[in-house]
Amino acid sequence: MIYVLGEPLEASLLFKKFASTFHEFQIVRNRDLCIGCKVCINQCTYEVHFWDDARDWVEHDNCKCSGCHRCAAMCPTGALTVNFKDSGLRSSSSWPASFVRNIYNQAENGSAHSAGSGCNAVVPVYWDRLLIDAGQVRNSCKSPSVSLKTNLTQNIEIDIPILLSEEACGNINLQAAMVKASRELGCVFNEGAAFKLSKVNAVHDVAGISLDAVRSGVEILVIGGSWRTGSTTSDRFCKDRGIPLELAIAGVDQRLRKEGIRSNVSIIAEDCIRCSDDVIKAIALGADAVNLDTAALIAVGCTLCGHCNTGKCPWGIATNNRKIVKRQNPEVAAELLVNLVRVWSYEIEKTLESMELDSIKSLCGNREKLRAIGLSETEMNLLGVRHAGN
Amino acid sequence: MKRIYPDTEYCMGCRLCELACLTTHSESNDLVIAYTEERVKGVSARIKVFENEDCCVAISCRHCDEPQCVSVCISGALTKDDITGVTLYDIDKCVGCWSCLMACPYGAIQRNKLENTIIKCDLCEERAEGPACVEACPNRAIKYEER
Repeated sequence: MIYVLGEPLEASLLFKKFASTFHEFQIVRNRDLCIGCKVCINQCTYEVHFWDDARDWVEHDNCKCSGCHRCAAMCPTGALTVNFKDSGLRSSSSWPASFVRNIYNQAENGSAHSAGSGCNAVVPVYWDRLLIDAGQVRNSCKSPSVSLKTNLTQNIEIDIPILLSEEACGNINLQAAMVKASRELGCVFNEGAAFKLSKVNAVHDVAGISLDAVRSGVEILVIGGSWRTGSTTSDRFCKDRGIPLELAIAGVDQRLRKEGIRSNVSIIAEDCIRCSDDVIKAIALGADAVNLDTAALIAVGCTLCGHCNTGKCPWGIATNNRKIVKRQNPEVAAELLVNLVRVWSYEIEKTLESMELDSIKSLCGNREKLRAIGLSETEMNLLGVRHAGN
Repeated sequence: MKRIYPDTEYCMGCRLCELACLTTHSESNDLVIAYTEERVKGVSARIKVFENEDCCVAISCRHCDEPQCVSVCISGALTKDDITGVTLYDIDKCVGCWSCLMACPYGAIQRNKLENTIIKCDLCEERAEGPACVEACPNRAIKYEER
């Protein structure tokens, strides 16, 4: 084995650019387990793995790795591990290694990362600063008798307050999977019904924009987090854009209530919803339902590697390449989505029961059921939530 | 009868079906040993993935209703089981003329490179879970069903 500083010879020495020294990921191949079956070669769309004729084995070029973990997931002998590589760059509070790496890449390649221009803002995840006012969890085996049915506009009833965004990434197979899953789950809302829907990003004036939209007759407002998203943009790069979804929902709900027109519209919170408790909190802050975006993509394989812009997603998600898109069989993907949403629905039922609520509708905008932990007066005021212990 | 049906729509060409088939038909029943040691002794996958620019497909014996391999077989090694519908292969009767290779319209029969016999899908008869290729496919692009 010819290795220099732990790198395969050809990838580390000749012809390389300096920036490639500071790649983010390092593949560890267990040579005792690697049989040379080439599954990693045919699965990696970034051409990281290749057959090395001279050595008669599979080799890899770490510089090209996006950290998507497809190879490791598909390797039939478990020979591959993808590790984060910090390159040993000296980090200071104002110059974390990610900035140094970015500048090297941008300067040497002259190409912008489509996922944004970079920021290290420390933005709190408010979901994690909110506690649910729930009584003792009953360990009964009987299924909870609470209703998850809710209405979007007055005419459309859905069985659960969780929607699957079929627009996510425009992938034909995933769209088919989401339609299939939504039908099975009873959360189809956009078929055969006429309503006025508007999508508003969680920007600084989201409440004002939403108010104007509702006054002009919008019946469904989709409020999307414009930051912290993991799909088409990378969360590593867009932390300073817009405002957190939690503040946006709470602000819009409170503003519309103040103007007395909250009942004219249904609010759908989109993205940044990571678990069933996040759904509960979003609804308590004023949403009627949530739309799974990133969580749905993760369910079908997305590892949030943030290289959607290449259009080569090895998981067959952020791509419409006719061959790579085949990696998402709608039948399989729909099953994964249905499983995920069913589990969340069950958890939500159990939580509602322990909150002594009999329906999800009675939770909507019910901030009394939430408490803040470690938030400032201003933040609590914006969220409309009292501090824990209060 | 239940047959193995490949789906060109969702086959992604990973070849895990080949590896599962190889392992199931190996002596060790261990992928690493089967691939690195038993292949050179003639153990081979009975399913093969073919690929062009547009699609991939995993080809194995179709167990045809009127198998052309059976009608050209000069030694009686290939027979059609009237009850199960399976196209059976008796290695002891095979003389290695390879007429079946020529006759098969799907190219689903392989030559054993080390001896005068052939290699073809047996639907994993002895496997309780059914065909290994079907179970191994991560994208459900091979199905075992009645059609």
